[in-house]
Amino acid sequence: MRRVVLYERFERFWHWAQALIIITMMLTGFEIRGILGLHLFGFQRAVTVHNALAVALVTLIVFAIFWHVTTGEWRQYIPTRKFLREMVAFYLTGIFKGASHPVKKHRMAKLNPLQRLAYLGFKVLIIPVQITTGALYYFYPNLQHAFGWSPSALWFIAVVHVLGAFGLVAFLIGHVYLTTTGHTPLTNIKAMITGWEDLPDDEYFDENP
Amino acid sequence: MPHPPRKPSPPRMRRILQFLVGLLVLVPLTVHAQETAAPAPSGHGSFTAAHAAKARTQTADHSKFKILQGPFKDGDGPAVTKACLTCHTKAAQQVMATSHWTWNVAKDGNDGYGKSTFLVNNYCLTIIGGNTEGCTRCHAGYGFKDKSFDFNQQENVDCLVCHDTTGDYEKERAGMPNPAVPLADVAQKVGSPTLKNCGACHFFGGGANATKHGDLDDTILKAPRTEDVHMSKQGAGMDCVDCHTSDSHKVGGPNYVIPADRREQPKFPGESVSRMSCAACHTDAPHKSYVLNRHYQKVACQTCHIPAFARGERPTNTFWDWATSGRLKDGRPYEEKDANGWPTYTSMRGKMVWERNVKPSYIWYNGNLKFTRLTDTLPASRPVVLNPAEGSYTDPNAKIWPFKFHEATQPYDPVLNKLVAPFTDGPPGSGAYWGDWKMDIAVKKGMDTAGLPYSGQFDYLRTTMLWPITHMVAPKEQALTCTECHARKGRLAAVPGFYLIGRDRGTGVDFIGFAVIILTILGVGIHGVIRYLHGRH
Amino acid sequence: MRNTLKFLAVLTAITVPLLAEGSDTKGKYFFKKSCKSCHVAGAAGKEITPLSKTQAQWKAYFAAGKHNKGAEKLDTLVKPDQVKDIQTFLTAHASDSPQPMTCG
Repeated sequence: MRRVVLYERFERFWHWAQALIIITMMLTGFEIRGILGLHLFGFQRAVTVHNALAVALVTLIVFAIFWHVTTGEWRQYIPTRKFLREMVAFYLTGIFKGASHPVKKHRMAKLNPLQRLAYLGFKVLIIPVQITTGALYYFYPNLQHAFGWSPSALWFIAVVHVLGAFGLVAFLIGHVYLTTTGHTPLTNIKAMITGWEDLPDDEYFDENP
Repeated sequence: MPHPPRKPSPPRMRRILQFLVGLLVLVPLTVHAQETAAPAPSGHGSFTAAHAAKARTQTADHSKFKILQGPFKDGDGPAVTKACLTCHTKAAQQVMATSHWTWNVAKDGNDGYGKSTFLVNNYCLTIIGGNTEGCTRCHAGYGFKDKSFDFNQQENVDCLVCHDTTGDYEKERAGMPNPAVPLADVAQKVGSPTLKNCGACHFFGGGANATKHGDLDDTILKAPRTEDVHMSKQGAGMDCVDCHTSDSHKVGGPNYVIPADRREQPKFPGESVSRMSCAACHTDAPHKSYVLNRHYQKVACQTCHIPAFARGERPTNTFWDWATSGRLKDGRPYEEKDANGWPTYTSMRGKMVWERNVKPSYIWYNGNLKFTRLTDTLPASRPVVLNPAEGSYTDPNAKIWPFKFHEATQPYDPVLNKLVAPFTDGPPGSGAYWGDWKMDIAVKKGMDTAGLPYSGQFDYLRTTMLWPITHMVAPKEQALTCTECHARKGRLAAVPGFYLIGRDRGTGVDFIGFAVIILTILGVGIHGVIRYLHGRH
Repeated sequence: MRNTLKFLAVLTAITVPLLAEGSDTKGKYFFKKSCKSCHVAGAAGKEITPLSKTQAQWKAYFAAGKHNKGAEKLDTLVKPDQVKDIQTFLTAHASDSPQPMTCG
């Protein structure tokens, strides 16, 4: 076993800032929609916070894309079918029997095939959809004014945006739960906070190029 | 190749955590700062000061003019006007070109919009059924008794009703000055119209103070700032004419002929937007928040800034039931009043409802109200809206506006399906409704006088009239908050044609959303329970 | 000035058979100016309108000529000719008159 820096400083900052922003946007968004009678910020404050955080999120994502590209970390998210079936089997049965994780975590391959799929979907599907529909929502009055968009367009935008938000909540729940499936329930979260994780020795990769 | 293990570095981690916490605190703080930044000075009293300056800079002291020394005969208004016209030679001609004089406004090429013709409302109904003499108390002229009135007599223009500054001027039947008015004194002290001049008629629409509009009554004269930020002396101290500017005696106003987006469009040379538009002073982006400013495209300023109408001490009439009028006690008319002293029944008008602080009704409105004339056939739908508003979400000129809806029953001709003009104002024996209390005779006489066809039958019809609310603007602290409208059962619950965030929440969409969340929780929960039971991981 | 007054006097004498009764219209004006400042709902004098009394009661009130429950003479508050006008107005529209005032 060796301790390695699995998550870089920027990566951790990005992850937690994004988490904070998205969770706050969920709460403000649900308050604006009037779901469960939420009253945390007050409507006007909720709208202002939600819009301000949208800008913050986009800014953060721009930096994150830059980081992924320049460090080559984007390769971590290339989907693969290798061990996919084994991963599914592990979560469905193996995990209960104490089977060992079918995919070894590695500095250069820190995501298992299921994570790759889920996070890629998160990055290229849910978040872009939310940002696009959010922007359309925000600028709808201008667009309506400029292009004479029909009122039902806004209804459609809103429906997609809200379904995306519910999807994000579901993602969050699953995501948080799955972090507890590490060596101990807190292993993964600790790693995400400190950056360090104990990894098994590996003869194929040199950790310090 | 193994390398020596590095220890995690707690200080770095702490820094990151500090940063995250900082972010958490900072974002709401900046947001808060944006919202509560100090407002610009609102210029309270600036107009009061301007009016003082106006008086100071006047170049003519009318008391020095010999021709205004009089004496004028009691009630001889035309003699005063003749005196005015010796200097202001074109003034009467200018007035005679305006609706204050003609009481008749051509619309869509059609005649008949205006009190002197076929316009009808659901308060006192109409003047042309023989009521002219009583109603023309509010005509800007002298001697308008009936339709034989000569609209071309310059000396019959009433200068004083608009230009009196003493408060001693009063008009009687046919618009003549009360014989007790000290005409020479009034004439020597003329000036620019103030709230009182316009209010002398416009506060009393519908026959009495506050009755018709709901946002115009004499409480404005002594209003605290909370009642009317513009006209209150504690507020901006403005006069009507500060917004209702005029050109050659043509005072800006709706006139029944209303261009779309009427308050926005320039009325007079030199204006970029009409002075009656809020934006003329406040710009079209008066809020700190971009999102609030954008409401301007679809929501009239009045909608949020006039939370209720009849906000003064006086109630406005919201229901007038002609059908129950005319009951007599011992052969005499009577009145019943409620605990506030507001009439709930009068023989003259029937049952009445009066209200204060009324939440307005909200509708799409592009500035055009389609008024009904006595000559118009009524629509088949009931109740009849006498002046339906035009506009919808997709109409680029329309905005959501606050309205007073005035309900009434009024006489109509069920055979011809048209409204009628009863003769109401006259002494016993004249056939007038308020003298002899017979509606059938009053309608017959009225329609004869008006020269309109009448089947001989009348019945009572339920009608609604729409009155846009635009005066008595509240201080900004009293403006509506977001959730007054952005809520399931908010003020805009019934305004159609668009998706309103916070109001239009598809329960189906939410159901799907919650189903997804609940299934996720269930899946996660079951998985976790099984893991726990196996005691592993 | 004097000529005008004479002319007016003659005119009034012709058109109004009983000069002493004063003018209904003028009375309305003076009533509003002099009396309505206190005699409105909610004010010190309480609301008074022509309907507040019958013709006979108004006649009796003005015959006595006392204001404020007899504390002061009417003539000291309002000019005598104006009192006459006010009396005419109130009586003409009293509660049992042919044309009671119920408007405004």
